[in-house]
Amino acid sequence: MRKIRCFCLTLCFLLLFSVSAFGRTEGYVFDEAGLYTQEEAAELSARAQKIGQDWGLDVLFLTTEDTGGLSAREYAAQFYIDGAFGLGQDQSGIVFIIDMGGRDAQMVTAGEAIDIFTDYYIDGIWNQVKPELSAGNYYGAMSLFLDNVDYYCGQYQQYLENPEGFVSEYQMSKSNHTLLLCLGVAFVLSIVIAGVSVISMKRGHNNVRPYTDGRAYLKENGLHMRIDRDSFVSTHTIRTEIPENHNHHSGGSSWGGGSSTFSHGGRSFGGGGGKF
Amino acid sequence: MEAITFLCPGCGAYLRYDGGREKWVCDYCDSEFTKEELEQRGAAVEDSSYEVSPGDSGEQGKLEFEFQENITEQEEDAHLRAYHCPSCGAEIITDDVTAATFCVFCQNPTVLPQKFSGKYHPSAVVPFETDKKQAQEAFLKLCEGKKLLPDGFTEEQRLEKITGIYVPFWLFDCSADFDYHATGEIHTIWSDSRFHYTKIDLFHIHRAGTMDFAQIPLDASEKMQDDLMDALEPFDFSKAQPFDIRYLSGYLAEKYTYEPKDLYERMTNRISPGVQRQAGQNSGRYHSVHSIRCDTKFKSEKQDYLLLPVWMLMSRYKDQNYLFAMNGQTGKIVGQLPIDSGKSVKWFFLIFLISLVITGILAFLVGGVLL
Repeated sequence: MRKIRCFCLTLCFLLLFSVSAFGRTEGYVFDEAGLYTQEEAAELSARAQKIGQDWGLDVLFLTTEDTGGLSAREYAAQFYIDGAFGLGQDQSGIVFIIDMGGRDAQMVTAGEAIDIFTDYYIDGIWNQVKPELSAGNYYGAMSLFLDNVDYYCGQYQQYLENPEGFVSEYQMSKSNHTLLLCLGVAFVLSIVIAGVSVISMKRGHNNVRPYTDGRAYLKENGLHMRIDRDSFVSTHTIRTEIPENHNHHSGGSSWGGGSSTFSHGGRSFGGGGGKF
Repeated sequence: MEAITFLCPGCGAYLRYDGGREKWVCDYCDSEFTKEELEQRGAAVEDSSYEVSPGDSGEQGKLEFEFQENITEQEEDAHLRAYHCPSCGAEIITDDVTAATFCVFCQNPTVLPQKFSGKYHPSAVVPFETDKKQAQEAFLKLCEGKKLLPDGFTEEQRLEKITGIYVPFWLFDCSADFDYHATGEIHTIWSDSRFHYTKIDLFHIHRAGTMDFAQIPLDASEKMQDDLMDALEPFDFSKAQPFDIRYLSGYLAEKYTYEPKDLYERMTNRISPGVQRQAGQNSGRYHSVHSIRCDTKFKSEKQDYLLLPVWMLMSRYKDQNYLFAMNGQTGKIVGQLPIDSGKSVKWFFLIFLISLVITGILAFLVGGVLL
């Protein structure tokens, strides 16, 4: 059954490539859903080609009306595998898929692109392009996407050249976040300190407390015990499981934190996106 | 009835007992007398007086009726007593529990010995060992460093109102027959590679016996604030003297208004927590003790009535009374000082701002490390 499904899908993709031959494909743009004009597709493809050459990764645009029962990102991953895309040893590349049937858009990364476009940057790009997609400005959204890919690839290159000295956007954001958190804690702490101090000062105004609970008036040798007995009643044992020390692979680095990945067709992909 | 003023054997002016010097002193000729010297030379003068009876109320008695509308005229009369000041002859009106007072006109210390006659005769008195100046200093020290204290609260005029008073107390000797039950737990903890284990051994703790208590003091005056009097303890009863009315000269004094039976419940409530804790004190080997039940039967066969020395200061702030008391023997002072709400707000914001600056700088330093 699984083999039949894979065969059908591969057939679909072959069909897609063959359809592309009839004019819906423009270089790196595979516009099955017909979202771009000829000029727009040409423009996007030219820019994708240049960025790809500059930074050593394939940048692809894929649109579709139907993903054949797959999720948008699985569809893009399958497309990437079947098309044997990717540059370099680890076949780096990034695909932006727009599934008009499911109103879903995903960025799918492979190879070194997984390390470049971590969750933090993927989220940042998505927040920029989503409004354009929702507004139906697909070309505008893809232009923004390309701008970001170009920019972050450049940044990543600088990071690789000087990992210690380079301060990434992610690091800046993390530090600002930490700073805000520290300031918030400082504010709350100050309120607590002031409150506790004033309450303590108020308590200092009243020293009317009983001198003794009565024991101060117990006569010397005034305690006469008749019964002083401790009897064993029962015993029971409580067992609690020691929590396992799960080492979550954060994939974090000073560049951009970790990347969420998924496997498809025996390969690992990263990325992210959402409904628009 | 009679009112007595103790006069100086040297100049004839009135004598007062000075707790600080533990002697009788004359403020006019600066003479000092020990008890033995007074007994040798004689110091008392008497003047007969009279009681206010219904239909014979003087002007001050009438004033009292007008102020206390919820008391009937007959009841009010029954609670009032009038005396002539042995020094200036003016009329001194007191209630029926006041046994030593001052003439409001000449400030002459006056003792009314008949108030302590019969069943009201104390067995002992603990004399003052501190004087008014020490009490004022103690009050000032209590107020020292109190940032929320209203301005002017420690002004001299207020301090002048500090009054020495002999407060009637009952000393109870009692025994407590207790039956204490509790559950004790001993925990043994160990672990293996997968689990933590806690073995809990439960024990029934049973203690029973008696405890003998001696000289538990309880104030016997309805005018006194119980928690304030309890907080004044301890008194050193070994320094108590057989009752001698001359110790009262120069102070206010009252006879008791509560009989021992009226205070019995308060006495048992005071020492019950101590009985329970004492009964369970040998339970130290347990990691936790709970489900405590302690049944106690109290028995009191002996009560002593004596007068204890207390310095009192009543102060008003924003229509609320604030009462301070100092142990006239040890100098321990207790009370509740008023709080200026404006100052509270001011200090809150001041501390908040200082804390915010300090913690803010720390926050920047911590945040900066990551930048």
